[in-house]
Amino acid sequence: MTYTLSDFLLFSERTYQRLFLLHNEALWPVQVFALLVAAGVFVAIATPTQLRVRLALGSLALMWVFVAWVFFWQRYATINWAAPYVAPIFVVQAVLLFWLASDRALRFKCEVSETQRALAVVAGVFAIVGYPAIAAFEGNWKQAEVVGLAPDPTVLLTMALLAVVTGRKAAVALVVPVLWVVITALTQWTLGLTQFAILPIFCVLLLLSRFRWSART
Amino acid sequence: MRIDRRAVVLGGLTAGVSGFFVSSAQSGTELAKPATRAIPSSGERLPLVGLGSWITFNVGSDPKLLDECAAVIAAFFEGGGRLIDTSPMYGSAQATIGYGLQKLGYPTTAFSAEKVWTSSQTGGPRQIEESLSHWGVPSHDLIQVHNLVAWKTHLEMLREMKSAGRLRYVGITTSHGRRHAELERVMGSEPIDFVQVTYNAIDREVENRILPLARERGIAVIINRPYQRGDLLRRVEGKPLPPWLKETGATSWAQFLLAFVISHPAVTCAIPATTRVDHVRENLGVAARPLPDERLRMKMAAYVNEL
Repeated sequence: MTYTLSDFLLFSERTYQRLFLLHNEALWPVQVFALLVAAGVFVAIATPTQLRVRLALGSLALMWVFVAWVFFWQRYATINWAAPYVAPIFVVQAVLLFWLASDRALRFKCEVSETQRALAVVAGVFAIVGYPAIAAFEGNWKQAEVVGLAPDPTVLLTMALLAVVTGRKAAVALVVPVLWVVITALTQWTLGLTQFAILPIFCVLLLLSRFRWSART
Repeated sequence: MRIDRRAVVLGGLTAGVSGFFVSSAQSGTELAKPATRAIPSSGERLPLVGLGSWITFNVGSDPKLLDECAAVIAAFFEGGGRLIDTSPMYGSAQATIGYGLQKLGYPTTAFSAEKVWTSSQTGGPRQIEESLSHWGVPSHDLIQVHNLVAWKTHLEMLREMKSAGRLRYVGITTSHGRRHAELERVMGSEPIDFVQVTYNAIDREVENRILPLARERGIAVIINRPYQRGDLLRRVEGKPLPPWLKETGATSWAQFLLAFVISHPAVTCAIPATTRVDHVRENLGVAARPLPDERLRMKMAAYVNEL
């Protein structure tokens, strides 16, 4: 007999889903503030300028710290003993985003193709309203994964913003998000959640778009 | 979507027996107590059906789910169950059990089956102290070395605890059929009271050497994953129960599969996990009826394998 992914599963799909319900109840009305900040990040994605992108990167860095502390350290750790080990990795990502925001040589795509821009915008929209919409569609809007409070939409919004930032430093800042995409997709797939494919699909499309853009410049 | 084990009961086939069981459980009428088997090293008897906690009791601080788990624990003791198994590996399961026991006022019949799970040579005692704190009990009945992790060090420590009267039984576990050769060596050379392995109608490797060795060495056997973590129930979902179901004493697929496991003469206790009170009653009900003999057991395994 060999190990399967389900051998490493520690909790049920129901417990996992209810985790977000309890998270939202405990944090309300932080969601409103988080969504407003996320809307600001979205503006930077749709119409990037130096200042907007720097502010957006800084805002996302704060979100990563918040998710590390409030979600992984305090919430997810109650059912997953591995969660406290993920928290510092999210803090490292926050440091990377701050570093990028303060980089004097920060460059972003002023002139990207319509496809690239559309992809980043769609990913940004999905991060902000897509996740709550899925929860609402399933009749459980109270257990929505909210950007800035939960990891998946925060990671997606980050990847959307990094899609309009060029250079190796931005590529480095994609390492942790991609790592999380793999972890969360495997977790959700093992739990039997259909939403497991969302992040990997966006991740692949955004990375492909970045690779193609880099290859042309 | 989770499988509803009641949904796979073929009502028409076994209407009489099934109807009796359901109505008894729903009306609160006391069911027959589960049959017991002796722990070879002491003669103490344990009900053939225990309660596992992997995944099901890892509910964190969710108050609704904690209460649901407490209701499962209450139904388990009410139905005559005793042994509850858990591990430091199972997230918040230890604390959930502690919550349930506290609500019940710590039933005297409870038999705690805990594990030590750390590769640290010195971390075992601290892990056990944390476990006692989670359970809210002064000592454990049984502590097993989880998945043979650092077993030499931990077995020595557990034997010292037993000698000092701080532990009643010592055991060792593996799951999903792995490392059986090493387990055999431990069983053959170390003085242990319990061994815990995976056994079900599909995973039957332990029948060859582990179970006979347990009988020969006088070691009690706890069976994990009697439903293959639910995979076996999903596998038989919608499939016809055998026309000779009545011979097995079972009324549903869940009871059929569990009856196969606990009817092996070397098995002391199986530990199916569940989040539902009706499933606990259904599981305990298996041990409250006559169990299949060897001929019928082979027929049951063959039937499941043919599906």
